[in-house]
Amino acid sequence: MLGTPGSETPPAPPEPRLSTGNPKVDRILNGGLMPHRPYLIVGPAGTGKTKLALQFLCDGALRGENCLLVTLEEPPNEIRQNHKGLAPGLDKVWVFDAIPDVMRYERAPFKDIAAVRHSVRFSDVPMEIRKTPELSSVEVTFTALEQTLKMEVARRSYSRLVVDSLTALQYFCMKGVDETLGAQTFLRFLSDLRLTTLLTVEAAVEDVETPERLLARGEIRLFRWELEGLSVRAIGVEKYRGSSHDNRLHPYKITSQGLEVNLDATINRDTRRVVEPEEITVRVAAPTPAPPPTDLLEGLDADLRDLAAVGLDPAPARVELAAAGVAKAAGDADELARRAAAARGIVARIAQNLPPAALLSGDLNVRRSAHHVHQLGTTPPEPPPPPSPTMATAPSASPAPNAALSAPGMETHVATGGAPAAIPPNEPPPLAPPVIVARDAPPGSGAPPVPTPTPAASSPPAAPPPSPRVDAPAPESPAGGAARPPIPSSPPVRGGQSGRGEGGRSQPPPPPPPPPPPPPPPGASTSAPPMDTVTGSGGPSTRGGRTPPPLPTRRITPEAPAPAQAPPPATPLLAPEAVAPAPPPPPAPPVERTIQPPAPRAPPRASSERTAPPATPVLPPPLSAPAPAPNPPTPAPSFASTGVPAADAASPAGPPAVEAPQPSGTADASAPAAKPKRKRAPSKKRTPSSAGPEAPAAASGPVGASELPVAAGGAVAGETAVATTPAATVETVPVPTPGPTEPTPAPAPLEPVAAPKPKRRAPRRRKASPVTSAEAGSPPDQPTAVTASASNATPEEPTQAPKSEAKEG
Amino acid sequence: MVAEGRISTGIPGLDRMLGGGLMSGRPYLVTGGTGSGKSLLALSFLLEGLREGEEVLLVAVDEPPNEILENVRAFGWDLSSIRTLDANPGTRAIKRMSDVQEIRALSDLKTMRDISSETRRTGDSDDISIQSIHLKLRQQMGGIHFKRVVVDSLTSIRRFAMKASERGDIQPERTEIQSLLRFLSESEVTTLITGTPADPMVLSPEEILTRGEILVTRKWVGDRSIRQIKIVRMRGSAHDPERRPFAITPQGFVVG
Repeated sequence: MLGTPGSETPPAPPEPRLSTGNPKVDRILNGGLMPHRPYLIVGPAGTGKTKLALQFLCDGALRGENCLLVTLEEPPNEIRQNHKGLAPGLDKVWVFDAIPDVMRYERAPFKDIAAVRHSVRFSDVPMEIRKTPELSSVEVTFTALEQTLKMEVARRSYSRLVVDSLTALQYFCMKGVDETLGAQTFLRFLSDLRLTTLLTVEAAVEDVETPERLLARGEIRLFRWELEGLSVRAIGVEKYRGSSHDNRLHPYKITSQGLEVNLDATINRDTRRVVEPEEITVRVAAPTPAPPPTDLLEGLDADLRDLAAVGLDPAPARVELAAAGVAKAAGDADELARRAAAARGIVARIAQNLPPAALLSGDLNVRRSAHHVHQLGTTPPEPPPPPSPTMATAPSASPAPNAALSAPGMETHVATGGAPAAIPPNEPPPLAPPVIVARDAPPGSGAPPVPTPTPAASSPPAAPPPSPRVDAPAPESPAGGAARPPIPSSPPVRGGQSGRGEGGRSQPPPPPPPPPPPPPPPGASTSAPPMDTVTGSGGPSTRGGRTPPPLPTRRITPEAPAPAQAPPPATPLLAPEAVAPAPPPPPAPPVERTIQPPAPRAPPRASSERTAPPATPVLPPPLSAPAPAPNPPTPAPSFASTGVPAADAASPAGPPAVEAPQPSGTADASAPAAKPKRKRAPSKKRTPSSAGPEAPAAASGPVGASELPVAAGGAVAGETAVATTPAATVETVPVPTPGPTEPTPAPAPLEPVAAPKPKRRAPRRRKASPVTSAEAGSPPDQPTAVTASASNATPEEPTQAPKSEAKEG
Repeated sequence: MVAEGRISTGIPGLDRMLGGGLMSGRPYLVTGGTGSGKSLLALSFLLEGLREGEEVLLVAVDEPPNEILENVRAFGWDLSSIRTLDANPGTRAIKRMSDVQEIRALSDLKTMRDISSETRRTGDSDDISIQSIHLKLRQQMGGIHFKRVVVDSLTSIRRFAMKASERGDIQPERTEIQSLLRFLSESEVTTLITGTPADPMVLSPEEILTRGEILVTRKWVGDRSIRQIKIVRMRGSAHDPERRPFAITPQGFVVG
C-alpha cells in the first residue's frame, strides 16, 4: 500500500510496499513488506503469529486481492471461530486445509492431496471440523503440497500467501526429507511463485539459527516472556533485507482485531521491562543528580557469568565490579561510575578474546553465552556517564526545542520527516517519501502513534539525526549513559533515550552536528526518510493532520488519552511551565525536567487533570472492564468476576492460606516474596490518601505494582481481565508497609530498570541453575540488585503505577 | 455458568482463567512436573463430565486404574462410572519382544467399578504404542460418544512407545501423535493430555497441535511448597495471563 523505496533498492522501480494489515507493524517495517518475497513470523506458541498473518491476508482481501492461507496446524473451522474479530476480511480469504487426515493403519487407497482438496473461502468453511473420510485418508507430504500450491496459484492469481506453520510442515510433512533442506527448497519454491508470503515459525527457543531464518528476506519476531507470573509480549524485527526498520522491541497485546502494538513504549530485552519514554528521560539524566545510579552495574553480573561460561577469565572485571559495589555502598556516585565504566571496558576487552569455538558449541547455554559475549566484544564499551549528555544529543539535539519534545528514537526522525513536509524544497532526496506518505495516510485510528512530527515542523534541517538511528546501533551506544546493550534490540532503546534525554538537557551543544547531515550520503538519507514515511503512514496524519501527533509518546496510551493531550505537544510530563522554558534551554532545566516529571505525576492526579490524563483515564478501565475494551467483548465479563476466586481461596483450609498472600504468583523465593508486598503496599496506601480519582486507583493499584502487566496484560485479549484480577489478589495481602512514596519519585524511575533485572534473568531462557538457586534464597549472589530493589521498591512504585495504568487504557 | 461452546474443567477458578472454560471439541495439554497435580486436575475434569451426565474416558498409562481409584478416595471423589482404558504397559514390555500382540493385549474399556482392587495381571509381552492406543480408541469409540477424554500421560506413552525413536527416527512418533490428536478432535471430544513440561529447547508435536496449554507447577518456598497454575496459551480465547496459586483440598481444586 505504501510506496516507500527500500534503502537498497535502486531508484528505478520501487514497488509499493504491501501493508501487513497492521499499521503499527507497517511502521516498524518502515512502510510494509516488499512484495514477492517470503518472510517469517517467528515466536513461541501463543504469541499471535497466526493472528498477525491473518491480518496480512485480510488486508489484501479487503483490497480485493486473492489471498490464500495454507493451514497445517489449526483446522479452518477453528480459525474461523478463533478469529471472529477479523471476520469482514477473513471471510474473503481463501483457505487451503493442508492438515493430514487421521492415519489409517489399514491399507487405504492413497490419494493425492491436490486431487482431493482445494481452497475455499473462509465464509464457506463449515463450523464443524472436517472428518476423515471412511475409506481413504490423505497424507500430506511436502512435495504434494508444493504441487498443490502450484495448481492453486495457476487457478487463481494470488497476491498474498500465508503458510501456517512452516514448523508443522517440517514436522509432519517432510518424512524422509531432510528438514533443513526441505525448508530451503520450500522457501525457494515460494519466491519462484512470486508471492508475498508470510510463514509462521514456532520457535521454542530464542536465538537459534535455523535455515529458514537465514533464507527468509525478513523476520518478525514475537516474544513471550514470563515476568513475575505474568506474560509479557514483545514484537521486533530480527531482520529485514533491503529496508531500514525500527530496531526496537515494542510491547503488544492481542485483541480480537489483531495485534495491538504499542510503539510508544519499548521493552528491554534483558530485563523484559517496559521502558517508557518517560523513564528513559529520567534515566539518562539521573546520573547527574545524587542518587546512586544503580543501573550502572546492571547486567554486569550476567556479563561476567557469560564470560565464565565461554571459558574466559572474568577475574579482572570482577575486581572492578567489586570496587564498584563498594563505591555504591558508600554512595560515591562518581567512583561508582568510574568503576562501572572500567568494568565494562574490561569486559569488552576480555570478550574480544572469545574463542570462536564457543559460538559453535554443542551446548546451547554456552552458545548463547558466547553470542552475548561476542556482542560485548564488538560493542564499544560505554563511556562513563558524564559525557553521555553531550554526545548522545549530537544528532537529534540540533533542533533543540523539538528534540526535547519529540519522542525517542524514531521521533527524531520524524522530526525530520515533519520538516520536509513543511519545507519540501530543502531536501530533495528525502522528499519523495514524505510525499508518498501524505498520499497514503491510512486512517490509523491509533493516530497517537504518530507522535513524531511534533513541533519539528519548524526545524527543517533535522535531517541529520536519521543516520544514527537507522541501523548503526554501535555508534549510538555511547549515548545511553547507563544502559547496557548486549543485545541488538537494546541499542535502539538507547538511541531513544539519548534523543529524548538530550532534548531536555543538551540543547546548546547539539546545534553543530545538525548542519552536516542535510546533504547526507545517499544511503543514509534514503534510509532515514523512510522512517519518516513510516510514521506518516502509520498515523493518519496527512500533513495537515500533523498537529495531533506531537503528543509526546510517553505515557500516552495510543487510543484513549490522545484527545486530551492534544494541547500539550510539549512534554506531557512537565507542567506547562516546564514546557515554556524549553525553548531557551539552559543546562539547568534538564535536571529539573527529569526530576519534575515524577513529582507532578503523583500529586497531579488530584489537582491537574492535564498531566494526569494518562493516569486517570486508564484507571477506570480495569475496573469497568467492559467499557474500555471494545475488542474483547466476551472476555471482559468472564474475568470481571475473577476477583471472587481470590476470596474463595483465602477461606479454605491451611494450604490455600499460605498461597493466598502471594497471589501475584511472584512467589519466586523468599526474597522476591517480600518484595511484592512492598510494592503493593504503596499502591494501596495511595488509594486511601488521595481523593476521588484515586478510588479506581485502589483497585488498579496492583496492576501498577506488577509493572509489566501493562504491556503484558495487554498481550492477552483479556487485558482488562488482567487489571481486575490483580486487584482481587491484593485484597488478600495484609499490606503493612506504608511506603515512602510520592516525595522521592526521582530515584524511582531508575529502579525499575536496574533492580528488576536479576529476577528476570532467572526465568526461562537462562537455564543456569545457579541463578535460580540464588533467587531461591541466597541474597548474597545478587546483593546489589536485591538490595537495590528492596530499598527502592517503594519509591518506584508510584511512578510505575500510573504509567502502567495509562497503558491499560 | 459455563459459556456457550465451552466445557467446564470442574474447577471454577480455572474456568475463569480460561475465559469461561475449555473450548469444546479441542485437545488441550496439561503440563507440570511430577506431583504437581496434573492428574488430579485431569480427573476433576472428568468428574465434572460425570456430573453433567456425559460419557467420559480415562486412558491410564501412568498408573493402574485401581491405584487411581484409591488415590482419590481420600477426596471422596467417585470415579466409578468413568470408563477407563488401562494402557499400562506389560511387565516385560521392557524387552520389546514383539509388537504383534500389542493391540490385542490392551484391555478393553471398563468402568472403574469393574476394576478389581488388584493390579491387572499383565501378559508378558503386553506393549503399548501410540498406534495401539489410537486403534483401540477408534474401535471403542464407535459405539460410545465420549465428550471428554483424558490421556494420562503422554510422557509415558512416549516413553513406552519408544520403539520408533530407538531407531533414531522421530518422524513416526510425530505423525502418530498428530494423527491421534486429529482423531480426537474429529471425534469432537474435548481432550486433556497430561505431560511433563516441554524441554524449552525442543519443540514437541503436542505443543504445536494442542489448542492450549495449562501449566501447573509446584515450588518450594521455605519449608513448604506452593502450587501454581497458569494458562500458557489458549487459542481463540481471552485468558488470564497471570500465574495463580491453587490448592488441592477435600473439595477438590481451588484456584485463587
